[in-house]
Amino acid sequence: MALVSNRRICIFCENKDQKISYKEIKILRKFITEQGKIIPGHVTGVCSRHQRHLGRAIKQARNIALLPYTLDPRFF
Amino acid sequence: MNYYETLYIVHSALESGRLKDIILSLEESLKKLGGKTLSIDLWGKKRLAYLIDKQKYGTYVQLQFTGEGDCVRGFGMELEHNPNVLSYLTTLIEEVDVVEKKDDLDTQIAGQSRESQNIGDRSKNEDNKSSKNNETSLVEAKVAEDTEEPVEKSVEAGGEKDPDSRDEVNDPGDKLDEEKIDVLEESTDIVEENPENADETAAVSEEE
Repeated sequence: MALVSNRRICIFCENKDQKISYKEIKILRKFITEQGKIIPGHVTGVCSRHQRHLGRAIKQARNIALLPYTLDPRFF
Repeated sequence: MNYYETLYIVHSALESGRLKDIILSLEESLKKLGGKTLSIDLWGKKRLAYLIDKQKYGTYVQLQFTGEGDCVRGFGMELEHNPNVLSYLTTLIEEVDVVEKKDDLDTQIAGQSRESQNIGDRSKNEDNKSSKNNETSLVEAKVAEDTEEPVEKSVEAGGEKDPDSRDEVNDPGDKLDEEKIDVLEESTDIVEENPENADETAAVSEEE
């Protein structure tokens, strides 16, 4: 029986040109939940190195009010 | 010497002249602290992700500069004590990330004020459009019919040097006009059919 691998490739490792910055809100929004939580790397398939960069960028974006700290979906 | 980038939020209620004064005063204070401004980029008025000082909107300004580590602390204190600055973030960047100056500060502020005006106008127009949709479509169709002929004539007079470009220019507009005319015809058909249908239904009810 062949082993089926569900392993996903990190999109930032694939696209070297793609920068992770707190200014790229459109990209960062893909890696947070509706509530504003950071989605873990094993769910999105991002490698640990880029997950660290992502976490830092999301926290910086939250600090400057580009992204929310928390969101209650009931009110939106 | 390091390269730094500061993104700060200015109170959105400030007018263009006052905004320029604040940006220039901050730039001057940075110069006094020993930093050198590389570029100022005005992002414009944006909605904040959460309320800061009970404000929903803020004007984002990105400032890139070089200097020693000490000037960052001093500049941070300057921003902290400025009541017009809602929030700020200073990050260390590399030389590659430095953006070259595109426009002057005046042109950027003018563009930003124009954008904000356009946003206000759009919101007003959307309300008006919803009530007067049919009228505007009729007027647009008429205008399109009027404008089509001179364009074609001018192209013919100029010769057929760029047939492809002509097609590119005319095609989308023609398609849209055709669609509008089709929609109008359908709507008129429905209006015409309705009285007949009403008569038929009345006749059926009488027979019953």
